[in-house]
Order: sequence, then structure tokens, then C-alpha cells
Amino acid sequence: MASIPLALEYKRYVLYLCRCSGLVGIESLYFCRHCKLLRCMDCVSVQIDGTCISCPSCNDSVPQTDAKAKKFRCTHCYQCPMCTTPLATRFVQLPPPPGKSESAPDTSSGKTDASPTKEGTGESTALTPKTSKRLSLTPSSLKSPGSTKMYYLFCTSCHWTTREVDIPDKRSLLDFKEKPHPFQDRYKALLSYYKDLDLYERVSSQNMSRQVSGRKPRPFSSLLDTSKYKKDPEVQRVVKQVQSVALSAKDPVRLPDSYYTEPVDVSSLTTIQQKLLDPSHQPSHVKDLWPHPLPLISRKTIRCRGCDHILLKPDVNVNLVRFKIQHVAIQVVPRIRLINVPKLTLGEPSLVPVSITSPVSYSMTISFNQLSSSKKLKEILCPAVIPEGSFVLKSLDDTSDLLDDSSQSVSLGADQSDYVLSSEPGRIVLKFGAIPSREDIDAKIGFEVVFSYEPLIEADRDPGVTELTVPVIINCGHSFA
Amino acid sequence: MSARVTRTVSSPAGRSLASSRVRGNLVPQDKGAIVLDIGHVHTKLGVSGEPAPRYIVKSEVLMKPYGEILNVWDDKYINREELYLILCRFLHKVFLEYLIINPREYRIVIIESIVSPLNFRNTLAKALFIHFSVPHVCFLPHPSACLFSLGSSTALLIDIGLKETSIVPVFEGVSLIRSIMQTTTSTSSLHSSLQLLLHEHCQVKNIANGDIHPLSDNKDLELTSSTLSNIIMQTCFVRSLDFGDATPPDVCFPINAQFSLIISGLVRCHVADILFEGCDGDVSLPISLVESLLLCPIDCRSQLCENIVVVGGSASLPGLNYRLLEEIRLLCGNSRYQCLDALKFKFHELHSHPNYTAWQGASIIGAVESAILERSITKEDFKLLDYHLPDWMSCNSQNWGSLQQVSPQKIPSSQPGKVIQTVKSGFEQ
Repeated sequence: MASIPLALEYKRYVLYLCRCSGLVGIESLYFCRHCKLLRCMDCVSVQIDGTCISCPSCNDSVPQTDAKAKKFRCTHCYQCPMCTTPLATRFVQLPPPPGKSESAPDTSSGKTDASPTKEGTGESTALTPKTSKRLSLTPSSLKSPGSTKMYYLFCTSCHWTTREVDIPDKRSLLDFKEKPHPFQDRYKALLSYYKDLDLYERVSSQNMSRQVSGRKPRPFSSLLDTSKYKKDPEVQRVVKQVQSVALSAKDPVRLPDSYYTEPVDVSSLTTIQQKLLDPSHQPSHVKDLWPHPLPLISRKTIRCRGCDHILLKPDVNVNLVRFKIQHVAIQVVPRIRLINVPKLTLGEPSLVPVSITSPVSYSMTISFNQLSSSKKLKEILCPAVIPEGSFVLKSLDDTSDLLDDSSQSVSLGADQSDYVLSSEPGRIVLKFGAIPSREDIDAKIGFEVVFSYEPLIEADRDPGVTELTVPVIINCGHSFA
Repeated sequence: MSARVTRTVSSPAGRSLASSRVRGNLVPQDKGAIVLDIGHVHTKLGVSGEPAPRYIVKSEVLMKPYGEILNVWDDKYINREELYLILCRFLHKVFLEYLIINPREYRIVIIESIVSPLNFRNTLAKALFIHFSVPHVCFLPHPSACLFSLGSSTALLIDIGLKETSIVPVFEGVSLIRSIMQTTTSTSSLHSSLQLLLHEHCQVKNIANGDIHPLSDNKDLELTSSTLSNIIMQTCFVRSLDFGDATPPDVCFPINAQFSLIISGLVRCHVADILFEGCDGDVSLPISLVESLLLCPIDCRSQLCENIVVVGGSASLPGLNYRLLEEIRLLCGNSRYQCLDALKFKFHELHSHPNYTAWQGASIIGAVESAILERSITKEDFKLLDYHLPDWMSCNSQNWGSLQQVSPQKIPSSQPGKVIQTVKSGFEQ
């Protein structure tokens, strides 16, 4: 689940074939050191780490129970209802009320109305409440002891403010909480009604089951159908009660004439995307918008599907970008890269230079096999020329630069030097070949990389498993006739 | 049903698990259900016991590593194996990115259309049970879900979806299957009608230099479906028949930084006419409604007519219900529909937004734990059925158990039809 920029994902040259026949980049591959298997993001089980739920804006860690009560939204960060950017917090300092507390906010907000536009440019980076606090009044008024702070929210991206939609400044950020659902009471009445009905139904069916052996399955319609309780006055009372809260059908209302005569200003209406940001209200006018609490994010723990061992465990501290446990393929699997996009000629073997980097501290032996691929893969792959024999990649040593190159470089067999373009400790560039067979699609070659594996921890050592295999598919680009 | 809640503590590796991890069938009492309504355009997702969904997001997912954005209902994949991966990725996004919950700790309520494709249902169930190992999944039919949110047991439901509109009469909780009408006159026909009208009657204004030229001249200006639905929702309304030929004022609709569209009043009030005329040779909304009524038993008709409910994304078009009533009244003058003339037609005023009415009903019933557990399918049942979902969920685990006793190995894997038959005969016993 590494967060790689999308641009990187779009054009991939080297892809690894997972056991689940998914093609992934190496950063999405995990390595389970207990099963000795490589697993992609589709064949691991991902779980929410309850200790690592935090707000992306203020970086506050929120306990899971608190987060659940707040519907996984931050209590004091808000997002812009127009463009979903996190809103910056501003405050104005009010002088102590001289008796008329009602008129005080009006005057001061009038005074500072011009300031947001002036401040806006200088404060584009201020997103969190802690950093964006800014004083808008003269220092003399700040010193007065009884002064109060009034907060309002401001979008640094589209310049939407809570003042724009006539939300008065609040004393605390918590006061911007969500409006309740417009039909909440009716919803609760229906909820308790169906709970009661279900109870009645179960009690009556238990009575029935004493007489008749074997219960018949009940469809959902049995919960809706109240006619069977016609003789039960208690149920009828509940039904009547809910029917009074439940809606009654009416004749539809004719549209007012204003629809036909009055002009429409599109900029005062919300788009569908803006509406759906607030599912319970779905305001259709810009003036009804309300700041939404910012959704929280969570770090995830990743487990092996086979043995349930943890492959990736994030740090509890949300400010640290590191992992407590991390078993990923990059630590074990040789990194394969295309040196440059080769010039391919249709029907002729063309050189494909491939660099192989060893990530491990032991000498790694690498050999290559033809891909024993399925029919589906054979259709997209073109024939490949693959280096024969095995190559030994010596470990990358910090002191290698100081020593003589010849003693450190790759040890080669008799005919193998033909395949090697260049070599250095921990890295080798080999000549692969591709014979493009079709002009309409990109030429792709596939081969299996067999590499030696020595676990670092003694307990993981398994004499049966000394080498691992991973199929690799390289996209060599277009070919020309 | 609480007897079914069992606790499994030991893991395959033999380690004791942290208390936060829940395995097996454990469904804690207080957690509620996850309610999902996967629509063709938007997916409504949330937790039971709440009056509105937490998020309404597009039913799309980014497929790494190719960078394609795919709709989960994509025609290309609906009958193929790849759908499993698409759904897994999509549900991963829903559970772990939006809802931030571990799905294996919750029961799941899925709202499904009664005509949803078999492969989609099966694959969805497979993804939930195998990939996410959820303990219980309940497939709640869309009409029942709508009625739960209304609190009444009889209604004539009109669900205007993206690709089709279905009209389902429900009487005392029972969907009258024979009277269900489907028509392709739906939101997508609104889109195509709008595109046609815009090219005929509308002009494009260049914001920079103020040039105005017809839209048909501007070939490279492409109107995406989200732009079209924004135009419909923001500027259009349904004209009532008695208003005559009055033309509402034109509206300037900005498309991008360079151009804005001048939508003529004619387009604004006539775009929805397609719903009442029928599109692509299929019948219109009012005709399919009265046809459905004709198919209903004669004793039910009057009650159904007084409980018409219009749901779906396009149901929020202003003036839709009024025009529908006018059109039905016109049709009743026709000799074929004369028997309906004496009926009163009444429309329910929804107390939720029409795009999540079904979700709200499912959220109510999802909070009634015993009702959902009784009607849901468990992971073990699904395995027993050889990974094929039965046609309905109105069956409890006891029936699956009896099925197993009758024929543990006899269920053929290659013939899903036969499985259903066996299941059906299991119910009748």
C-alpha cells in the first residue's frame, strides 16, 4: 500500500507477476518470511490499525472509540463544502462587552471584514488551527482582560468563508458542528417501530414453533405486513402510532410560476458533487452550505493471508513516517530496471539492457529461466533471449570504492561475459533480447528470476528453501519495421 | 439467533490473538451493520442506525497498476472474472478508506435490485466472504428497503435509475412480481435528450472575447456525463402541461474557463419531456405505470394508486410528480385505461432525499439485529452452496443445515441452476 505518485503508476516498464496472476510494481509486493512467498496487495489481508487513527490536517491522534462516536471525523478541523480543502481557522479578538453583548460582534466583524482578503495571500500555507491563528485588531484592544476570541473558517484555496454564508462567528471551533438530519425524530420512531415489530414476530413465531415442528423461513415482507396482527390490539396501537409520524400521501404540488419567469444564476447553485459531500442535507443553494468536519485517516496493518503473520505494522506515533514491522519485497527481491527504452526492429532480435540490483548484504546468485506462462500471457509476450547460467552479485560494501575493482566485481563463468554490459558490486547490467512479433502492441518480454535467499534471522532459516523465483514482465516499448 | 454467535480465539499459527482482532463468527452486539447501496453512478455507504449515509461516492475505482478508472458496473467486465478484482478493490476503498472499519467485525447489508445480474451478485458475495471474510451478508431487495423507510406496507415504487426505470407495486409487503414493469426511459435518456437539444438550440459563449456561436459548430467541446447531470439538476425542471407554451429565461452555464453555454429556456423546460414520450422505442414512464397497474389485482389498485413513491437520482427534478399525475390523468381518458379513471393518485412526499431512500430503509432494518441475522447468509452457508448465492435471502441457517443433511455432496458445481432448484426444493419441504 505504498503511496506512490500516480504519474509513476501510469507508465510502468517493469512489472512483477504475483502468484494471484496480478501484475504489480515491486513496491506493492510483500514478502512473508514465514511462508517464503511474495504477496501482492490483493492477496494480503489489510486491517485498520485502531491505534493509528488521526486527522490529516492537525495530525492529532484520535482513539478508536472516540473516532467512532464522531463518525470518523475530526472534531475541530473542517473541510470546505465548495472544494474539500481543509479550512483554515481565523479569529477576531473582541473587546470586552460594554453591556450590550449582542451588538459587539457586529461592529468588530465589520471592522475586520476587509482583513481576510488582505491576509489571505500571506497565509496560504496556514492550514492547521494552531498555525493560522492571527490577530486582526490593534494591540491596545488585545491587552484588555475581558476580551473574547471569535472564530470563523476560511478556505485558502477558493476563498470561501463561513461569513459568506451568514454563519455567525463562534466562540469555539466545536460550535461549527454538523446540523442534525432534518427528519431525525421520524427516523428514530421508525427504528423503534421495526424493533418492536420484529420482537412481536419472533415471540409469535416461537409460540407457533411449539405447535408446528420446523420453522418456515420468513421473507422481509413479513416485517412489513401488519395485517396479520389485526386482532392484536397492542400491535395495532404501535402501528397507528407510527402511521401518525410516517408520511401520508398527498397530491403533488404544482411548480410555482417563478420557475418559468425568474432567471437562474448558476453560480448560486451547488453542483452534484458539492451536494453529495453532505448526504443528509444535500443543499442546492450555495447559501445553505455548511463546513463539513474533516474525515479522519487510518494507518493499516497488513497480514499474510496464509499464515496470518504481520507483514507491515505502522508506528503508533502519527507524526512518524516509519514502520514497526516491515517485510516487503524490496528488501529481498533483486530490483530489475530497464536502462533505456530500446530501439526495436520488427522480427529481429533487439538488445534490451537490463540492470539488476541486489538489496541484500550477502552474495546473491541469480539465474534466469524462460517463463512457463499461461495462454493468456503468451498472447501478449514476444520471444525473449535470456542470459544463460548463473551470476553472482557480491554484496554492496561501503568500502568497495577504495578497493581494486577487479576483486569485487561479479564472478563470471566461461561464456558469460558476452551477456554482461557492466558490473559493479551489488549491481550488474545484462543484455537481454526481444524479438518483436507484432507492430500494433508494445513488445513485452517475460522471464523468471531465480535468486538465492538467506534469511537474516536464524529462526527463519529453512534448509529446504534457499532460492526464490519471481516472474518479471518488461515492457520494451514500440517496435518499428 | 444469539446462539449463532461463537467465539474463536486461537489462530492457525497457535498464537493468542490481541483482543482487538475478531475472527470467526463473532458479531459483537453494539457494532451495527454496514449498509451499502451500489448504484450505477453513485454508491451510498454508511452504518445502520443513522438516518443518512456517511458518504455518497462514485461507483468507480482506480485499477493499479494500469491507472484505469473503472465503474464497477462496467459493461465490459460485468460477466467476466475480472469483476472479482474490481469489486475487491472497490470494497477495499469503501471499508478501509471511507468507513475506516474492519469489515470482518460487522454484518453487511447490501441493497440489490431485483433484476441485478447473477454474476454481479455472486462475485460480490464471493468478494465479501472470501476476500474480506465477513461473517454475515444480507441481500435486501430494493423495494423492501424503500418501504422500510416509508413506514408503510403498500406502495407503488418508481425507481428512476441510470439505465432503466423499474416500477414495482408492493402490496402489504409483498412485491407483485407479475406486475413489475421495466423501461429504459431513465436518466440516461434524459442525458441523450439534453445532448440532442443542446446541439440544436444552444450557443457557446467564449468568455475571453465574448464571441457567440452555435454548439454544433464547436466539435471539440465535449460534454461529459457529469456536466450533463449538473446542467439537468441546476437549470432544468419538468414543465406542467397546463402552463402552455411559456418559455423560461435563458441560463448561462460555465463549462470550463474558456467557454460557457447559453442554455435556452426551451431546452430547460422540454428536456424532461423524454420521460413522458418514451425513448428508443421503449414505453414512457406514465404508460409503464398504468400498464403495471392494469397487471395488478383489481382489489389492490386503489391502495397502490394512493401510495405512489418516486425514488432514484432523477426523482429530485422539480415538478416531476405533478407532471406524472397530469400525464396519468390524460391516459385515463384512453379507452384502454378507462377502468383506472375513478382512482385517486397520490404521491408520497419523501422525508429523505430520493437518492438514498432505499439506503435509509436498509439502515433502519440493519439496526434490528435479529431480523438481519435471520435473513442473512453466512460464510459457511455460502461455502456449502458451492459459492453460488440463492435467489433470495428469506431463508435461515436452519434450512441450509437441513439442505446439507439431505444432500451433502449432491450439489453439482457446474450447474448453478440445479443448485437453486435443490435449494428451492429444500424450502418447500
